[in-house]
Amino acid sequence: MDEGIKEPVSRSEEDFLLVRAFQQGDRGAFDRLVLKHKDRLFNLCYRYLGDYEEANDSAQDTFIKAYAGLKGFRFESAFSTWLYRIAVNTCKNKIQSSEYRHRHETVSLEQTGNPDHGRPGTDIQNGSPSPALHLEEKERKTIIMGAVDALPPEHREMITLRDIEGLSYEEIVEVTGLNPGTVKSRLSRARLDLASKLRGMV
Amino acid sequence: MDCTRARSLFSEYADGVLDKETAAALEEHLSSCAECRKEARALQSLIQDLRSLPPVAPPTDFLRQLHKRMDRPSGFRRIVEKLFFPIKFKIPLQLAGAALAALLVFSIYTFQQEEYKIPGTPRSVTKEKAGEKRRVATADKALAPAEKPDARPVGLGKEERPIELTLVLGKAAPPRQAAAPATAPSFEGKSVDSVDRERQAPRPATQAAPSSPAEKAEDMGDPVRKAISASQGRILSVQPASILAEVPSDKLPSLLENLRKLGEVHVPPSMPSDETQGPVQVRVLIVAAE
Repeated sequence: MDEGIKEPVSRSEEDFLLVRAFQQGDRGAFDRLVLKHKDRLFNLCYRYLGDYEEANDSAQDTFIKAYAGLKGFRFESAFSTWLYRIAVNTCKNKIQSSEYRHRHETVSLEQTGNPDHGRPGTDIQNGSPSPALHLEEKERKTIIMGAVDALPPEHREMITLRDIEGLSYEEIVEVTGLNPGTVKSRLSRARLDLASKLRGMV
Repeated sequence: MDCTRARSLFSEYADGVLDKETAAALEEHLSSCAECRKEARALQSLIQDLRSLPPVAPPTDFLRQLHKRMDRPSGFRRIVEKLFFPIKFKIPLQLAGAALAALLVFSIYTFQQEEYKIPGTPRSVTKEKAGEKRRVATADKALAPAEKPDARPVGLGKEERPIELTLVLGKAAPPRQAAAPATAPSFEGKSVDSVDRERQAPRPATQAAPSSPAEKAEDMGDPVRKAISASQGRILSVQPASILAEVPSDKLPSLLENLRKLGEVHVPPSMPSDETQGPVQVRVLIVAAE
């Protein structure tokens, strides 16, 4: 029962200084912003799209768009929120593209019982004490991710932003452009939907 | 609070964003409903699982890849480069451009040629035939100034008229050099009035006289047609006092020569030049001398 994960003030201040430096002509400041945000941004894209290559492509597109727009950034929101908004829109456009849909449908047909197909990130060690427990834990998370992938896009978006990335309600409102009531009700439906899909499986 | 209402609040309750009153009412329901309590715990557990999903790391060379993409030329430049590079695409495109330009020049040239074409196409013949009646209707009355031989050079201009040759019957053909006004007055040398007099000469009251000028003119139709045929000409229309024909331009001197054998021939001041190609239309006006 927390109130949403917010960036520590120091991190926001660091972003502010880097953006300012970039706006004053320090091109290296942008690289530092990329290095600082790439992991979370990539993870967001990956959870959104469910495909490593597509996620890489979208994350890079996001930074390219950010680079183009950073000169005009006026700090009306946190840099990270602004970056997430670009990423979410980029991923949405990607999902709507016919190329992505065609590829995604093909992959879905090819997948035979392994919903975590093509997910190199899930191989990251989680430090479980025994191989049996590790296997069980890994399998459980694989099933959960498969269920998340099977959600309708608007539900997957809510689960990704709130439960996986840990954005606060306010941040989700800023990133998606939805009103707070819609965010609350859509998130509630998404969680119940996911829970019903997983009932009896985990 | 019923179970449906309680379930709709699980999400906000798990996030701790419910107001105190609603949270207290939900907790009261949960204390009495085992099913809802179980579902609420399951949801909270699921949220914990989602938050503990291991992050997926980007490629280690993410920044290098990004730099590579950012160093790419802009969209427009990429299109231009795709179109013109590598060099193997450049030459065909340039050739295609040159071919297009050549085609354009050729089309303009052809169009202009069409504009200044010498009459002789079936269309102009038809047009001429349509205008023929009107001209002949007035031919017996007088040669109006407007119907004087056109001074424009033949072969230039859209509305070409036939070359009008006046064959004056009953006069011996003058020697070629006699075309000069001093020795033999040309058509232009005569006044319009004198021509009018010639053409408006009253017919004799009795048609029996075969030697009258009008009959003489009609009788001369056949020899004129023969002269035209001898010059590889094609008769387009025959009227009592004139014949419209089409002759190859290079046979025009031959036609003049043949007509001069029949009488005095007056030619317009400008005749087609030697370079003129294709057929030309000729109208032979037959005038009987007094």
